[in-house]
Amino acid sequence: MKKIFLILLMIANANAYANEMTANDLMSAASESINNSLQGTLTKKTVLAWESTFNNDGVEVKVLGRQDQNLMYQCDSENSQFVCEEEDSFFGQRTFENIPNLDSDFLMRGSQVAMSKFEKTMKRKGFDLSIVSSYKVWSLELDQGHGTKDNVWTRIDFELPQGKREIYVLCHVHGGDSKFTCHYSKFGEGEPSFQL
Amino acid sequence: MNNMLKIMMLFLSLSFISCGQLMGDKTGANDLPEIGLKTIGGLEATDVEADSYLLKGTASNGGYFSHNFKVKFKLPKEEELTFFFYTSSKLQGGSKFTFSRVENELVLEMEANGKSHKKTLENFSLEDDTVNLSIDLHNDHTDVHLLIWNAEGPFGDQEECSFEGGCIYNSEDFAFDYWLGVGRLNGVYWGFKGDKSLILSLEGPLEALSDA
Repeated sequence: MKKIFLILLMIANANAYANEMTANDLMSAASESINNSLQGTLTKKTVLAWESTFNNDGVEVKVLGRQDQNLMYQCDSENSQFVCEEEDSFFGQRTFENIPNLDSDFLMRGSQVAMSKFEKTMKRKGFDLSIVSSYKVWSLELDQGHGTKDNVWTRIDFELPQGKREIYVLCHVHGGDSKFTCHYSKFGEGEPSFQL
Repeated sequence: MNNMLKIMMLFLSLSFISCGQLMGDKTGANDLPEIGLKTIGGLEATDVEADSYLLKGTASNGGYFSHNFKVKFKLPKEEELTFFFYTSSKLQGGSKFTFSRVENELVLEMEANGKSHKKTLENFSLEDDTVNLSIDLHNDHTDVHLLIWNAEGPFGDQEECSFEGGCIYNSEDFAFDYWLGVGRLNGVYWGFKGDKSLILSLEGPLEALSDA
């Protein structure tokens, strides 16, 4: 009985935490975690993907490196700034294919445009970014037919009154342009998994 | 030894034929038949069936490409015209745009790969019965992306363009809820169905106006 009460309390806390926060906090926590990873194991060129999710204690961020470095950070908001600490790490032996040589700044900018697109869509429906529970970002080299190869994929998990959903957003920069163009997609291509 | 040399020569000659040369624009496979041609709106056309016409011009790269089409036509009350893009030589499959009018408002019913979407095209007046449109179909993404502008502009292509007046139709508006998974269009031809005397001018396939 005590255990059930504790579990319910944890769920209520997690919901309360998530309800106060939005996807902007998920992105801030991811940014802080990536900065931390750059001071240790990874470089800007070796960050392959990340995922940022609300949990009971704040935000959990998983970062994946090109050499299958799996890092996990727990982030807590202090004075409207995120403090992230590495909690766990695992170095695997997977080989990733079709990974463009993009840096983490490019992925961050692409995912911000993706989230901005999602925010506009939600605003038209009467919602804001507080419905987002998790987002994941990765890069993939794929020619979309007009010379574009450097794609940034963003997966956004969210909850509407009708239930939980996820959407994929593909963003890329066209030749000679610095502006990201993004499209919604039902499926993501080359979505990596984390081993932590 | 001679046979080996012949085989090598054959492989070498095949390697010089690029993919582009195997497309219809090089082989003539996608061309209109030589007989029974007529000119509609400044373009060569051939009958498919009664009041249905296949127009000259095929999409590049086997259809895996973005193109723009310009269509100008009269649309009196009670009339409707249907255009087919990235379709078959029998005008089957691909995307189908049916234009009709309600009073002075232009209504588009669009179909692609089994999905349909109907919308009154705002910011567009039919007071003089003339419709003049510039249409982009981007068939090189996971899902085809459609944009329509008044041919006299403006030519916005940002995601909010249909709300802000930069375009009059943008499939990104309903991509989130409805368009997901529609896929690409499978044909390379274009054409129309309706009274050909309503057509004023046709141009296409042209280079896409937008790369959005």
